[in-house]
Parts: sequence; C-alpha cells; structure tokens
Amino acid sequence: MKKFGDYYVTIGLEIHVALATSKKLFSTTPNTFQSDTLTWFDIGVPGVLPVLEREPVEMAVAFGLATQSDIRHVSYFERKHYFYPDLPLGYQITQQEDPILWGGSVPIRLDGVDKTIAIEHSHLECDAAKSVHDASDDYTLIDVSRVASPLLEIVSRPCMHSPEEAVEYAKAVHRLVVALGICDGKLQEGSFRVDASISLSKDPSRLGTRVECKNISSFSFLKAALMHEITRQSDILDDGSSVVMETRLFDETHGVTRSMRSKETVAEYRYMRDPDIPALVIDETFISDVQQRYATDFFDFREHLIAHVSQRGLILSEGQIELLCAYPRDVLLGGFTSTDVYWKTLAYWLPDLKARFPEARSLTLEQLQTLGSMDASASKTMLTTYISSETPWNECQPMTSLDPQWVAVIHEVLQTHPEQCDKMRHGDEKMKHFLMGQCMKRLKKHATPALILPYLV
Amino acid sequence: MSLRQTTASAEHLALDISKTTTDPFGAFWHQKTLAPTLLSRIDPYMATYEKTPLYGCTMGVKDLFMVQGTPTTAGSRMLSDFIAPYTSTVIQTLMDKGAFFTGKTSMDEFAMGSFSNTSSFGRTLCPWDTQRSAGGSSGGSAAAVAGGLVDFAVGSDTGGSVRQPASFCGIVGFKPTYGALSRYGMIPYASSLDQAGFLTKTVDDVRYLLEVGVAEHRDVRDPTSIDVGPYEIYEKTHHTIGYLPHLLETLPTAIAAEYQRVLDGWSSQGVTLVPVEIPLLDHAADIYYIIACSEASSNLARYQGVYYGKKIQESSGDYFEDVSLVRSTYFGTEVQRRILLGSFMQSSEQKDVLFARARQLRKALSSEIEYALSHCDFLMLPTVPMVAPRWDDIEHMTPHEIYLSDYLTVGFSLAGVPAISVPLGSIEGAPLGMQCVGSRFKDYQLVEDVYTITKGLV
Repeated sequence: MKKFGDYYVTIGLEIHVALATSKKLFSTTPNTFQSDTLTWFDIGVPGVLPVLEREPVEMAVAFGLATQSDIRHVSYFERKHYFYPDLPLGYQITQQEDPILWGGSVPIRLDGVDKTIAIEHSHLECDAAKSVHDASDDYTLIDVSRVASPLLEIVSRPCMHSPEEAVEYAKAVHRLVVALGICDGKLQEGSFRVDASISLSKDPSRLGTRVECKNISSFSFLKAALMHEITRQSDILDDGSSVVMETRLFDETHGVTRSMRSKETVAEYRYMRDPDIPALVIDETFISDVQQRYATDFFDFREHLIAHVSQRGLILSEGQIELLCAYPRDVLLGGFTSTDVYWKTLAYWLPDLKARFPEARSLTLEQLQTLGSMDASASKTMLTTYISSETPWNECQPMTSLDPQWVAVIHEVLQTHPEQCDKMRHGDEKMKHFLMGQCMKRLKKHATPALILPYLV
Repeated sequence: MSLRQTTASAEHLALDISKTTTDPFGAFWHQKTLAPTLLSRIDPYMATYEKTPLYGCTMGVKDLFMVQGTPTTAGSRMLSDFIAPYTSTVIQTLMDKGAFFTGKTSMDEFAMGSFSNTSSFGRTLCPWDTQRSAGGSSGGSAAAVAGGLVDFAVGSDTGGSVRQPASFCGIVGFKPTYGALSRYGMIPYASSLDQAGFLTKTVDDVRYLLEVGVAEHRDVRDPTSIDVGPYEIYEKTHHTIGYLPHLLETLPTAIAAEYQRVLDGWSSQGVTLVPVEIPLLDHAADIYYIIACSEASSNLARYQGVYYGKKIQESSGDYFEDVSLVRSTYFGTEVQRRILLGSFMQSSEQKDVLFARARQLRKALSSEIEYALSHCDFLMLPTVPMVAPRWDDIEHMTPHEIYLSDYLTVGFSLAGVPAISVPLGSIEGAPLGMQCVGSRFKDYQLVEDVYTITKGLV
C-alpha cells in the first residue's frame, strides 16, 4: 500500500448517479431539469401517494448486472427525515436496510496494474430540490424541478488507498453509467456527484477518523480535494492532535476543503419503512429482460475491444479509448471484421472533425463500412467533405476518374487556347496554371485539379 | 330516507344544503363558502345524474378528503387557507354514482382525537344530547347523519374514527378492509391504518353502497389499494358468531350487561355463539399508538411553513427556529403530542425497542384475530367501552385514558379487517354500538350477514 509520509490512506466514495429516465421515480412528471410541469407528489400535496415507476428500477438492475452485484428479489423503501426547505415532504424516500443491490465490483487499471474496487451496496432514492441563493437579495429560492428525480447511490467499500485510485474508480463508474445509457454523465450539471470519505492511519489494519468531503464537481477536483485532505490531516496528526469527524465542503476556487457550520449532534434521521410503498419485488423475467436490453457486459466488452485494437497496432490514449467505447455496440462490432481504416476513422479522424464541427451529421453504420473499405487518404477526404459541408453523401465520394463529357470539355478548353498550350508544353508553369484555372472554371465541382492534370501534360 | 329507495327531488337537495348553514351541532364547516355554489349545482345535477344508483342522495364529506375547489383543512389552522386542487378517488367514485355533495363535515385535527374537540375550529355536539360529544375523529359526519342533516356521510377510520362516533350517535359506521377503498386524496394521518368509511342510518344503506360498486376496483394511484372484486354474497340461513367472554368479565358493568343482553337476543334468534379469545386485545391501544404516532410524525413533517402553513412574522434568520414557531403555532396540542411521541418512538435508541416490538405484536395480534375469525362468520363485541361522554367528563380525562378507551376498535384497524358498528345497545337511553368484525376482503359477506341478523332491529 502506498504511504503518504507516515500515513496509510483509506478512501471510500459515495456516487450519486442521476438516472436518465423519462419520468421521475415515484410520479409521472417528466424527468428533465427544464421541466416546468410538476405533479403534486413532487411538492408533497397531501393525499398524493408515491407510485413507483419501472424505468429507474430497470436501470438500477442494469447497473447491478454490469457490476455483478447481488440483485435483491425483495427490497424496501424507507423514509429519511430531516427538516430543510429543499425537502418538501420533510423526508427523503430512499433505501437503507434493504436496498435493491448488494456488493458488486468495478475493475480499474492504474499504472498498468489491474485492480478490483468493491461496492458495498447501491440503492434507489429521490433527489431533493435545489436551493438557489444568488437569484435574489432577500430570499433563497427553491428550484423544485429536480425534486423526486431518481438517483442511484453507489456506495463503495472503504478500499481505495490513494487519490489516483479513487479517481480511476470514479471514472470507471462514470464510463459505465454513460455506456449503459442510464446517465448522461454531465458532472457540471449535477448528473454525476461524488462525495469522498477519507481517513489516515499509521497502522494499515486500523482506520483513522473519517472525514467526508462534498461539493466535488469534477475528477480533477476530486483528486485536489483528497490531496488537500491528506496534507491537512497529516499536519493535524503530526502535531499530536486528533482529526475531527465531520463533513467538509470543497472550495473550488481555492482548492481546499472547509468545515461546514457545525452540528453538535449526529443527525437523527428516524428511518422508517415507507408504509405507502409496497415491497419492490423483482423476478428472473424482469432481470433477463434488462439483460437483453442493456449492454451489461460493458467491462468485459471494453477489455475485448482494447485488446482487439492494440492487436491491430493502433495506439490509443485513455481519452481515445473512452471516445471509442461511447459508440453504439453495433458500430464497434462492425469494426471487428473491418479494416484498420475503420478504426482510425472512429478513433482519430471522426472525433477530430466532430470537435471542429460539433453540429455535424452523424454517420450510419453503412457509411462507416463504406469508409472502412476505402484507402486511407480517400476515406479521410470523403469523411472530411461530409462532416464539414452540407454535401449529400453520394457526392462526397472522391472522384477517381472523369466522365467522358468532362474530358471533352477539357479538350475543348485546350483547343481554344492553342498558344497557351504550346507554351505550357515547352515548360511554362504559368500557362499550366492558367489552363488549369480555365478548366476548373468550366468544370467546377465535376473535377478536381488532380484529375485534370493528366490531360494537360 | 334509505339510500336504496331515494326518490330524487331538487327540494331535498336544496333543503339539505340549507341544513348545513343552520346546523346546530357544529357538524359542517365552510358552509358560507360552499352553500351558494352547491345550490347552483342542483339543476344541472338533476338533469344529468338521473340513471345513477345514488341519484338524489345527499352526502357529507369529512374535511380530510380532497374535494376539488373546496377548503380542505383537516381541522387544522395549518391548512386553514388550503383549497383542494383535486378530488379524492372515493369521493369522485361516489359522486360519479350519483351522490350529491352538500358539505364538509367537522373533525378532530388531522384525525387525531376521540371527541371532535381537538380542532380549534370548534367541537361537534351529539345530536341526541348536545351536552355530550359526537365522538371522533369523524364526529361531524356522524352528527350530520344522526341529526338528519344529510342522507349519508363519508368519514375516515384509523383507530375507530368512524365506528366510535357511530356508536356515540346511535347510527351505523363501517370501516372496510384496509386497501378496499383508495387513500388517494385523503390527508394522511397513519398510512398503514387510514381507511375511508361510511356513516349511515341503517346497515342496508352500507350494503347498498357496496352493492353499487364503491369498493370494486383498486386505484392505480394508491399502491396499497386492492381489488375486492364485484359484489358477491351467498345466502345463509344459519350464523355462527364469535364473542369474547374476557370482555364480559373486564368491561364496566353496564357495558358488559348490555353486551350480554344483545348476545342473548341473538342466541334466542337461533344464532350459534362461539367463545373466542384475543389475548393481545388488551394491549391493542399501546401497539396502535406507537405505530400511529410514528407514522403521523412522518406524514406531518411536510408542514413547515414553506409549502404549507403561514409565516408568523419576519424570519428569525434560522430556518429551524422558524419551522418550530410555525408548527407550534398552527398545530393544536393533541397533534403536537402525537408528533413528539412518534418522533421519540422513531429515534434511533427507541426504534429497535418500542417500534420494532410494536410491529411484531401487530403481526401477532392480527394472527390472533384471524384465528378467532376462522371459528365463526364474524365477531361481535361492543364498539366502545362507554356511551357518548359529557363535555364536563371529557375535561377530566387524561390523554392516556382517552387513548385506552379506543382499545376495542384499534385492534381491528391494526389487523386491517372490516368492521361495522351497529346501534344495537343502549344504556339509560344512550346508544351503545356493537361492533361486528369480519375477515379481510370479506366485506360484502360481513355486511350481508349483519344485515340478515339485525333486520328489523335497527
């Protein structure tokens, strides 16, 4: 285990994944952050009851299958009570004693070494509303569009021992949920939130005092927050003092964690099984249905893919691998029987062009296969034309020869310019350019200079 | 006027609406707001609802039920400005079947109370003796029916809130199997116990309401609701009734004597009486109050003055202080008491002690009741161990005494079984209800059997 000065570091992550369902967890409100329609359940109108939607449960099961978690056939929802304006019901509906998923693991690779990070459990819960402090001088406003949206909370075991390991794990989970289609992965918009717990100890077999860090909105901030905590806690322990068990907020601007206003007592949430919600029962039919519709073999397939492209001699960075894995499964499968050009298109050229032309049209599998069947430069040319212009696909095809009618036009141009032709044949480059220009003027898009050239010399 | 045979007339509807405004029992609230609108609905209703089974029947609705556009306060100042944005399923079903809504009836605050005296909007008087309470928490619904102000009324029964007022007022009160009627649109008190119930003059009226299909279908908007299915009963010529000898020994003398008298009367009619035991019944009130207060403290957590309730003054700057002030101002004493008890029961130290034990005992009690019911068609016992109490006497009762007085009804709420209180007894002129309890989902058969036996007696 890596040591930081005198200390061993233990890290656990709680990741909140905003599930990309069409409706919320317990109501039929559309699940978009811009939604301006609410149903009464969201704001706790009395007498309205929670009715569990199917899609969030499917997505949780998909995650469970992909991480080889134990999918509970019977699980329960509980109420977690606290008073705060962002919680209209005065309680959050979550799962505590009997969550839907137990255990599971996520493979990571760090410094060339493969490791498995264990998950403690994962559960479904409702999101809270959002407090908006800076929209008004006199009031804090509550944005209720997010309340009661479905979240999947993934709680890891405290089994990571360096900030790098924690970041790799977070990235792996991020990749997975995006590839499964259960989350849009937009950290800045709050779709994927990471809370980190960290403790230091001189004795690797005993855990030190745990500090929780919240308000981490990117992977680099996660690393920064953990590094800062290691320094901060080391200093305290070196002095002979004790670390206070507390929750701290990460300050992005300064790269440090700050203590939250202290609460003297441990929170009393009065967890109670929700009497309005019957037990969540999942049978084998449900699970196999999910297995067929979601890419739950993500980790295995990813390894397979990486092995395949490196066999072909393509060197890909982590970023390029991520981009590659984001393609639909049938596109990637198409590559296994295709050419190197196909992979280069997917891994290098297409991402580059998409970055320059973000509004560009997407390619179909057929189009990709056509590109894959051409030589590299022709393929690249065609791709560039298609992405960078409005040209229809058929017309992007690079020309390999001229139609006789256009050849006739070239001959006509040469015949009407006998003097220039003569000078050109005696080596006058300027005349060659002039005649080239004349031909291009007449032929326009029906020819390229490369195709005209043979007829001039 | 029986629900089955009502001949509809606009005069009857108008008269019952006007009765809500002259009501001497404190049975109706919001009359001034509602009466004009309701009067204007008479003509369109008479034209449209002719073919419905409840055509011409007037209906009072406990102020716990959402009826779109009406003030719906649950008897609390916390919701004194609240107007229902939708209608509860039970009420909508009844209205679709032709029931004509004439007003919101009074109740104990958030259905917490036994004498319709915990709401700060006023108490409800017992029609046959206004020096006495109409009972609670559905006191208004009971008084409205007993006082002849309305043909029938809808109440809610969590621990006896329909049965007990029926007993006190000398009418019929029915609580169905838990889940038989949708809770969508009922302001929740204790979610695993709340059920809508009916207050009527006769058993046949309850029978008719069930016949016309009020309980037939489950509601997708209430995940705890169940399909009871279409109305089906079978005729019996002979009945076996379970009774509790233990109660004959432990109840106050007058109550026990009245119980014995009714039993003797049935026996002489040819009913077979079978003694049964429900040992945990003596502890039913303890079990009930632990569970009900816990669920109540959770269901009332939403009232903080942000989404519901009014602001008192300028904010103190601390959110929690503001919330405390709103809740201690706008909740009455009884509601505060139960929220505190419930929060205590749910705290991490107590949860595994009191609450966990209460849940286990609830299961045990339910098994005992099921077992007792397996030996008979239904059980019969007094609904309440007292007649309607005088207001003076209520002043001297401690909260604990009041809670314990529910023990005969709460047990059957905990078990989720159907029960109906029928005014078969009386003590010195004061009505005493007898409670008939059936097996879960056998609501239709229970009411049919009770009807058959009590035909002519009520």
